[in-house]
Order: sequence, then structure tokens, then C-alpha cells
Amino acid sequence: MNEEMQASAKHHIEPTAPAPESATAGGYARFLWAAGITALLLFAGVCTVNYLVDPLQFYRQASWYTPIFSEEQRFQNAGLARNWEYDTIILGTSMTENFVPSQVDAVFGEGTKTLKLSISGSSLYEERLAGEVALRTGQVKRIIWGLDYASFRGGKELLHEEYGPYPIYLYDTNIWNDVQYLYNISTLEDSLRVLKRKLTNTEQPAIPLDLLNNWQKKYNYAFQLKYVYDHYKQAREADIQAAQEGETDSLAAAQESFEHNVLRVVREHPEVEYHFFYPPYSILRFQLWYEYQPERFYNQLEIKKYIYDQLSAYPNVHIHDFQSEMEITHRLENYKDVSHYSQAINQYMIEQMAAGTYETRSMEEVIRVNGELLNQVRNYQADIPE
Amino acid sequence: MLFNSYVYILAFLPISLAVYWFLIRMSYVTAAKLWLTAASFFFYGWWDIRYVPILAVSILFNYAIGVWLAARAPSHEEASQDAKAHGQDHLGGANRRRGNRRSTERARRLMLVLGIAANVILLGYFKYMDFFIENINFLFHTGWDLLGIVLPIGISFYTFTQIAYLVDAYKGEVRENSLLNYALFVVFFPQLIAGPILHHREMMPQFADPGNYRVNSRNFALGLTVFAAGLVKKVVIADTLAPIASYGFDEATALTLVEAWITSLSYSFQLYFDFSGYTDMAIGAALLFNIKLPFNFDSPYKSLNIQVFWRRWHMTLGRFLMNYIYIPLGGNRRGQARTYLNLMVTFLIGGFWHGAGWTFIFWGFLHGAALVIHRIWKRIGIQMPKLVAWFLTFQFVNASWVFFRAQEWEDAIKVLRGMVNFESIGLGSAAWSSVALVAGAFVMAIAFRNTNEWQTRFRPRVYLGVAVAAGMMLALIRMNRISEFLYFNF
Repeated sequence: MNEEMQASAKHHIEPTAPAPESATAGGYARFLWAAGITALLLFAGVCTVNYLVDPLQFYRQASWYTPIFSEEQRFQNAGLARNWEYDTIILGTSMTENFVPSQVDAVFGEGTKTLKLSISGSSLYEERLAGEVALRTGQVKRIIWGLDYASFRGGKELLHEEYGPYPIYLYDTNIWNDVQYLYNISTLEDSLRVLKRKLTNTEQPAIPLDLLNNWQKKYNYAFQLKYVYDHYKQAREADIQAAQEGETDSLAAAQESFEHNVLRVVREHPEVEYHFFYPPYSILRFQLWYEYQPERFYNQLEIKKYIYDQLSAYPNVHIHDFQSEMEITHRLENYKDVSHYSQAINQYMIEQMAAGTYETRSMEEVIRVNGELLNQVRNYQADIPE
Repeated sequence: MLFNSYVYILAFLPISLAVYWFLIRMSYVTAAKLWLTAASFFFYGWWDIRYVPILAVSILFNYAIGVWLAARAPSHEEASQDAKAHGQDHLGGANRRRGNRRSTERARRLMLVLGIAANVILLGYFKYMDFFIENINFLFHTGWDLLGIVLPIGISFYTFTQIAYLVDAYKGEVRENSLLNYALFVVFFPQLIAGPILHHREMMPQFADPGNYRVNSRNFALGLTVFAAGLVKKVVIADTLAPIASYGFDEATALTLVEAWITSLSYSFQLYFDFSGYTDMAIGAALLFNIKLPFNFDSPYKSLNIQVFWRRWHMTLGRFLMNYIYIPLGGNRRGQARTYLNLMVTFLIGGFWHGAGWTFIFWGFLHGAALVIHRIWKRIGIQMPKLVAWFLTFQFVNASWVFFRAQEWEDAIKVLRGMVNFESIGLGSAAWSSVALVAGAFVMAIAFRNTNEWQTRFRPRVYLGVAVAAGMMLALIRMNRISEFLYFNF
């Protein structure tokens, strides 16, 4: 680099050449018209195709083609919640994905119709957004809501956007931003796939909603101690690392998220019957937290007291705590890793929620169950082959 | 807000344009400038409202210092009289005047130093504080907590712009008596967060020129075209390459020869299309306001030596570094050794400017060293065949980007090691489509005319209008896959 550069840089200051003689104002007008009309035509064409096919069934249920349900729950749930008939919804993380809606219907009886709106790895805020779409339809009578402490963490309006922007436009009431769904490359790809299958007679049977995002079958092979042990070692390493990196846990933040996303819904919708439940992770999971992230462990106990305190005044709210049920948590063959239990446990929980067996009905009971869990964690002898 | 976002393209830009031209048409020129300034602050505050006051204080501060410096700058006549008086010492009056001038001169110098220092401290605090703390902790085993400072977006750019202004105000080369004009020059949103790094000399007159207060259909058509071209470069090309580079740099634990080359090349092209595309969007948007921003890229990967590369890559940064660091250090006027040292210092600073990390400093060092070697080579005077020269230059630039991109030293080493991993050559986990994409990007960067050349040949053909719209609509529909713009933390 030397001083010549100054001259050369100056030379580049004028990006445009003087207007050529031939280019009249009319030429520019024609150019702008051509651009404008092309843009409008493309936009209108794509939006029309996407609106007519509507692959996420956001505007209506699919009628003239076999639906293709997306397994991207954050994208698919809004359409399900808007356009299906139901009176019960399930909210929560992967801990709720193995509830089978038709079985939930059978357990609760009285013509119950259940829609599962689980989102794996969700935050409370994401769960609330999905729940609110359903609530806006006015048909929700019952919400079954799995409360994972992990969902309370990370802020009261946490959206998981690690892999792309959250489709918030599907969840709000602004119809104008839905253009992001209509003018969307993924929607277009799906629409074209639907059309192609329709025209070539290669439509696949739709996944029944009963099984959409149910992972029991996919992981049948993994319900063996070997996998639980392997995963235990990974989880332990991760927990140790988190502890070394000084990861902290804030009870206040978790409470704030609860208040912002759960309590708020309960307050605004007194007409709904709520079944909150604490999922029974394996004892190994609790013990790892207890040993390596004690702050997080104790906060999980502490927040149950807070939640009971906040919700006890509502007669339409039921809280079920399965976390100290040794019959579940100590039998490692119920799990495919240290936290995910099998579909049989989901079925059991639904039956017990309907019966109220595990419902905590007083602060004393909350404290007693917490005490049991603490005792179990202290006394359990993990027998992990190294 | 990002240029490649719906809110910018469909709301912010059209509204700010429409109101601006409406006010101009009603002959409310000051109101139009106020509007544009306010819109730019809004644009800036969209990211984080807390950083608006920092920008505002920075502008007020630099404007005040600039006015003070310019008011006391020697006029040209005075300066030449002083020069004459120097030879005629018997003129007592001139002596006295020179005596006064000397004390003013000292005050002005002090003020300039203070002004620059304040800018550097502001930048240093926000951008480099945590980096320094980390290094002190490492060196002295101290346990100071990091402050977790979030970098106000664009601060590196508007700090440099304003330092240049102060220096030129000190030299008496610029004088701006309108705070509004000055503020607009600094915050004008097309260039605010990612450049081009403007020079007041090329901007202030444009805002003041009544000739620009008329909608110019050529600028409008051209601006739209350039904006669309930039959008396609960013959203369609760079964002398609990004995941390929990310995989190799951030996820893979070891790379085969082919994987490593795909990784490094895809990043080199990603960065080029990303940054030059973003610059095109800035240039295009500014043209809609009849403002011409300087070019920032000129097919850098076609360069035949590293010196030329720096005249074609991020040209406005190169210009700044040269005029405000290299030349003040003495440039090439103090002998060979000093020239080399100046080059090295300039590029170490340039590297550090790009980011608070040792990999950036090392990247700057590599380029400084390459420029020194180039100079020595030129002195020896051996001609190199063009193809060899291009190849060497491109290979050097490509390899140096590895340090620029890598988040950790280990990642850089991993990629470079892969690039010479002759034991494991195969495609690995890379897809043929990635190879094709990188090859396509290569051809586009090397064999085609760049957007600047298009601009000079621009004719408002109907088919071009159709193509511009199609490109824009293609980019818009792909926007739910966009990644963050890369140059933000610089």
C-alpha cells in the first residue's frame, strides 16, 4: 500500500457515469414499470398458490389433498390449533409428546377430544404462544400442561431461534405478517410437493394426529439399561462442565417466566380446567443435578412451593407431582436416557391425573413430596458400570 | 434492522423515502434532513435503544470539537503569509502573529489529541475491554470478572468516520457549521452500521447540493438495481455458502483435503458476497436519496498482488488506514525499514479493528507481512507470470481468511491442516452440491463483471427491470433462511 492508493480511491468515488443520451425519462419509467409489474405478478402468483394449497393448514383443514403434517412443531402447531375441533389441549416439551390423544379422550371420557400441541425443547413462552392460539378459538375446556423446569430457564420470552427465526407471525393476531407464511420458500416447496404428488397420484397416507411426533416407536430399541448408562455418563460430563463454567440458576427468573407465561393464562382463562404436572425424570437425572448443579436442583423443589402458592386459590387448577414416584423413577428400564420415559408412563400419568392420585392439595403435601425426592436422591446408590 | 429483512425492505425504506421526497417536494429541505436524521436514529435504535444515546453523544462531542478546531484553523492566506514571513524576520508584526499562532497551535493540537483519544477510548471500552481483561487474567492469573459488554452496532464505523473528520478539521480542510448536516452525514442509515466508511469531503457537499433535491429517475432505477443485486449476493449466494463454512469451521472435528478446501473457499466467497452485497444494498439505498456512496469492493479476488487486493477489498477502510494511520506514521518517506514497520503497524491496527481477538491481530499481521514481502519483491523487480501472481495472491488471501473466520486457534489449525491432508483426500461428509456451489461462486467472483462495472454500463432496459424484480423477489422469498450479517461485530 502506498500513496498512489489515495488517487486510486478518489477515482472510485463517483459510482455512476453520466446518464447516456439515449436513456430518456421514458426509458426509466418503462424500466420501473417492468420491475414493478414483475414483482407484483411473482408475489401474487406465489401467495395464491400457497394460500390455495396451504400446506401447514393454517387457513383451513386440507380437503382436496392428503395432508402432509410437518414435524416442525413450531410451524405446524398454529394451524392445528386454529382449524381442528377439540376441547382439551396438551402443552409441554418432549415429556408430553407420547401422550396419545385418543387415549386421553378415553380416560377423561364425556366426549373429550384432545389435541396435542407439544413442542420438543420448548420454553414456557413458546408453550404459552401455542396455548393462546388454541384458547382464542374459544373451544378449550381443559389444558394438560407438563412443567419442565428446563423450560422456565433462559428468560421469560425465550424463543428458540438457533436454527432460524421463530414463526411468530403464525401465533399473533396480525393477519398482515402472515405474508411471511404465504411468501415463504419452504411453504412454496411444500405446496409444490403437494401439487406434484396430487398430479402424479403419488400421495402418501397422512400421519394420524394420534401419532404425530410420538417418538415411542422410533426409540423402542433404546429402552435398555445400556443406553441409560451411556447417556448418564454424557449427562454427567455435561453437568460437570456446566458447573465448572460457573453456570448459575436463578429462581427469581424462573418465577418470573412462570408468572409471565403460565399464571397469566390461568388468570385470563378461568373457564378452563388445568392439569399441571411435574414429569418424572429418572432418579439418575435428579441425582446428577443434586450433585453437580445443586442450585438448580433446589430451585426445582423451591419453585413447586411458589407455584402451589400462586395457584392454590384457583379451584379449576390441579397440580400433579410424579417426581418422587419411585415405582417410575427408580426403574431405569422405563427410560431411554436419564430423563425420557416411555409411552406407558404417559398413559399411567394420564390415568392418575384423571383420578387425582398424585395431586398435591396442600402446601404440606408439596413440602412432603419435595422431602421424599430429596431423601431418595441422597440415598439412591447409582450402580453404573464404568 | 438488517437490510435483508422484511421490515427494512417493505416498511422502513419505502416510508423513509416517501416522506423524505414529499418534504423535499414541498420545499421543506431542513425538515427533510431532520426526517432523514430521525429515521436513521430510529434505524439504529431498532437493534437496541440503549445505544442511541451513545451515538448521539459521540456526534455532539465530535461536532463541537470539529467546530472549535475549524474555527481556529489557519486560513490559507495566513499560512502562506507565515511562510513568507519566515524568510523576512525583520517584520515584527508577522513575528507577533506567529507567536500567537504558536500558542493557538498548541491548544489546537491538544484538542485534536483529546478528541481522538475520546473516540478511541469509547471504541476501546465497548469493543476491547473484555478482551483486555481476559488477557490480563491469563497473563497474571488474576480473576477479574468480564464486564459482558455488548458491542453497540456500527461503533467501529462511525468512530473511524469521525476521527477522520476531526483530523481534517484540524488541518483546516473542512468546516461544517450545521449540526444537522454533520449529524446526517454520520448517521445516514445506508452506511451507518457496515460502511462504506465515508469521508466528509465526499458526503457533505452532496447533502448541501440543491441539485440533489429532485427525484432523479436514473438514480432511482439504478439504486433499485444495485440494491437488488446486493440483496441477491447476500441472501441467495452468501447465505447458501454460510452453512458449508460453518460446518467445517465449527462442527467437524477433522477434515479431509477436499472438505477443508470447500470449507475455506466457501468462507472466502461467503465473506465477499456477504459484505460486498451488503455494501451494494447501502449504495443502492443511498442512490434512492440521490446520494452517491463510494465504492467499497472492486472484484478483489481478481487481484494480481496483495497491494492491489487492498485497493479492491473494503476500499474505504484501506483508504482510512492509509490516510489516517500509515501516512501520519511517515508512510514511505522515511526509508525502507520504516516503511515496512509502518505497513506492519497499520495492518496490525487494521486486524484489531475487525475484532477483539488474537486471531484478528494475527490475520492483520499476515497481511502486513505479505505487503512487506510484496514491496521487497517489487524492489528486486522480477516479473511473475500473471496467472502465478493471481494464484499466489488468492491462495494467500484464502488461507488468511481461515484465521479471520475461526473462533478458536484450534479451528484454524484444523482447517489449514485439512488443506494439506494428503492422507485423507476424499469428499468426506461434504456433498457434491457444495463443491458445485463453491465452484459457481468462484466463477462469479473471478470471471464476471462486478456491480460497480454494471453501474457504469447501466441502461434501463425492460428485461433488466424484469430481472431486478425477479432477483428481489427470489431473495425476499428465501428470507426465512437468512443468517446474521457477518460484519456486525467489527
